[in-house]
Amino acid sequence: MSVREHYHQASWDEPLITELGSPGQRGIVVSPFDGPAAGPLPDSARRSAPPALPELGQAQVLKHYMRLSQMCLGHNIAIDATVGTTTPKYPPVVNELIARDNKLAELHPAQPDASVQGVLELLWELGEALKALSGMDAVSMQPGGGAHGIFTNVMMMRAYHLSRGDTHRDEYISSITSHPTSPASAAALGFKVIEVPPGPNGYVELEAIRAAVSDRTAGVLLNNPEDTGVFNQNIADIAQIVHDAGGLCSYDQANANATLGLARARESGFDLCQFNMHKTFGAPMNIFGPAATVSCVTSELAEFLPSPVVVKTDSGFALDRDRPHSVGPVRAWNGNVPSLVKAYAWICAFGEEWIREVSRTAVLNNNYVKSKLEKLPGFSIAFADNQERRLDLVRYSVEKLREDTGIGGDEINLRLVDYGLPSHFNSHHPHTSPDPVTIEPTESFDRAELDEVADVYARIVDEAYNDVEKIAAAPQRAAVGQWRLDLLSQDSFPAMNARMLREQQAATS
Amino acid sequence: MVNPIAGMGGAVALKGTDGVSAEALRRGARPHAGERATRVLLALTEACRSREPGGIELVTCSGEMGEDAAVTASIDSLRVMPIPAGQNPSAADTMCAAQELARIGVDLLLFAGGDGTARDIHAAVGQGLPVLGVPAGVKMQSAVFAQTPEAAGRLAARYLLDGGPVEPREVLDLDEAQLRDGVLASQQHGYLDVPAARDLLQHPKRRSTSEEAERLSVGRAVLEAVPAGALTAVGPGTTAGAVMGLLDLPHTLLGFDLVRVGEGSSGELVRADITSSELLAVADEAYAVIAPTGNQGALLGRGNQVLTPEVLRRLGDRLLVVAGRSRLAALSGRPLMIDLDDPEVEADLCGMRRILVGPGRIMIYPIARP
Repeated sequence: MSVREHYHQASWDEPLITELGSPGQRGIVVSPFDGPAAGPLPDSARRSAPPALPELGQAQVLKHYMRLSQMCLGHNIAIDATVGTTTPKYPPVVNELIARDNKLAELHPAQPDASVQGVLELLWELGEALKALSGMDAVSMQPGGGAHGIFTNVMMMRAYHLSRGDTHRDEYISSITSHPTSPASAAALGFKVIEVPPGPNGYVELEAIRAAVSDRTAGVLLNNPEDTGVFNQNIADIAQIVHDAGGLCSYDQANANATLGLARARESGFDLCQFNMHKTFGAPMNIFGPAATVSCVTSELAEFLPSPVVVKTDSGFALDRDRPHSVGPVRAWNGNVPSLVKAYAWICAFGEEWIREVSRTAVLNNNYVKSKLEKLPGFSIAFADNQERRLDLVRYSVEKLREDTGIGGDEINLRLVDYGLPSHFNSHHPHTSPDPVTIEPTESFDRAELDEVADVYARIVDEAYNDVEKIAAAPQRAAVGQWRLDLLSQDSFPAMNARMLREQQAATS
Repeated sequence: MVNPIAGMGGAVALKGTDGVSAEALRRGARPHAGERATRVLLALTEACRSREPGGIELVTCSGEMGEDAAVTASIDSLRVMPIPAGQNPSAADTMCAAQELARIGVDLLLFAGGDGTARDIHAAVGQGLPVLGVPAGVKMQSAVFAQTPEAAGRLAARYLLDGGPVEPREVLDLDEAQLRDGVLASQQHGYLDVPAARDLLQHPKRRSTSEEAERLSVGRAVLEAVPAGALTAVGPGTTAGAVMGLLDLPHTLLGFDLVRVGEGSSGELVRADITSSELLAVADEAYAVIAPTGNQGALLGRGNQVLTPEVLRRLGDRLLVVAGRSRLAALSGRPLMIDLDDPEVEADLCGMRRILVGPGRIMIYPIARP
């Protein structure tokens, strides 16, 4: 058993940084720049009082953040295959160094195109690679995240229908097993949402799509595979039904880890899709950014792409802003360039042949873990009657374990951290399986790590049946405590930053 | 075994029949358990047709407690038990019959009744004797029932001819006296051993306390869907009844309330807890709102028998089916189930249907008659 029996996480009892230091303490950064200094700000733009920043020495800052990092289970320290649907994978350190290089970091987005030919060429090549992987004809790199990409796609579909004088289409179809940002994007733009449930096989059936379409259908927003990990083989027929009704098809490829170089949105009959650089393409999936998403469309929709787009000209590369039919900019400038550069580096590292191997390895790893977990007492596979191969992830159900022992997915999570594994993801809402657990062992984990994940689950299941007190008292060896969801209410909103904390403290003192 | 009075309280707004069968008859209720018992026997015979003859022997009680249904279904391999059923069969008769059947050593006790009948059988024989319920009561929250009489017939034949495991399943019952006062208090009375079959058995009813937001969303969707001034019959359960909260009106938890919806979030209560004949009188213009039961996924024929086939025929498209998204998702793709005594109306309702889950939000969901 490869379980870390003596694991123990540091728990530093570290104060907030606003509670550290004292007035006058300073860290010193030697300026890398010795050119002429900018003139002083005009009085109108100047603070009258200095900001209330903590004052600390450099050594104290370093220790503070090192201590905090020891109380996390991040990419660089933990086997995060448990965090299903986030496409947890290794973000190469060298890509961080590239993105941090002064040659990139010191660029200003308003520089003339002629002075940034290198980065424009890099972005153009990234676009070509993503066109090849999606089968689409044109891309936008502006969206700052997956939901933003889907939102942008809905904006483009709206613009397409309006350009044809088609003003009555006010319904978008999505599935309840698609990522919630699909229906949310349509609703946020004022459309009605028609949701379809999974059929007995765990994915959307043609009959449901036929019942959902009408002359009000503007489009469909779907994932494939959805979070159940099963590829919907009806996908091209679904696209055909929606097209026949006059709607467009947008493929959520946020997580394309099962299909890279193997199946494309274009051949599935879709008109748009979006790739998340911070999931499939190895840019780090930090919580709330930095993220970058690339929207890909067919030539029929290219004129509606957000502005500007990177184009190749006779003399080099440029940002094209002269786009009269564009939905307009969806954020400032041209996207989150550091994340796009990391994704470019990731794609280049594999190349055309080996990028397929990414998906093949991810599917193999996932099925290796599945073969172990599905044998555990109390574990089952969601939609178990469907024997089709699970691809990049598996939705498990621990309903039986909970019925047998009182230990469900939430309780397992409290114990996982005692063995050094991040808590697993259960499911997006609404839950289509009772007590769901979703695990996604991508290509980044080696066999010993996959064995460790399976062994830890086996250990916890054994504890559930035979030594349940250990789980009841968990976590005992981790920096986190038991979750106190009851603390989150309208009366006690957590302070998310120093200013909120100051305001709350002022209000209660 | 047939509980002949089971289900009579349904269409006449009595929520059940425990202790009020005389009142049900006075309100014009019609017994239907015998008819449903006949259907299960026909299905059983049909399922055995392709097999060796003489496979199953039926043992049943005399008169309306079983014999009548068996004769109607032309069962020839019939042994009638000398159990004298009284003029008005009671819980004591059910228990006495169950004990007698257990003593004889039947392989499967098939009963047509409701939660109260299941509870009486549980009190009489407990676990050990395989039991299968034919749904003929009003609410049927217990997990011992097949989804329809036909499903019960198929499952019984499969179990008796091919064998297979049994599993303990919950006997649940609401306190009907409290219920008539608007209090939902479901109690677990133990387990009965039921032939294991995921496809044909009804799931136990599950109640969740964390779905309040979805219910409010459903309530707003109803106000959006019903034109101002329309009469609306708001059906049982907290989901269908959410609109009553928005209108600031009291809601009969296990009955239909007739309201007139005004502009904005206003409305007036026309009549609380109406019967099927009261609803029928306005069914050509009124809307009706119903929601499936949690976890069971039962849409019609469970607790909302005020919507008789005739009422449903008149309502047509003005029948609004509403549900919380989580509740539908938790069904894992299983269709919503209807169980009416009218194949034509059932056929009209089956198939993919638009279900209101929130304002501007619709779920396409299958409705089937198992």
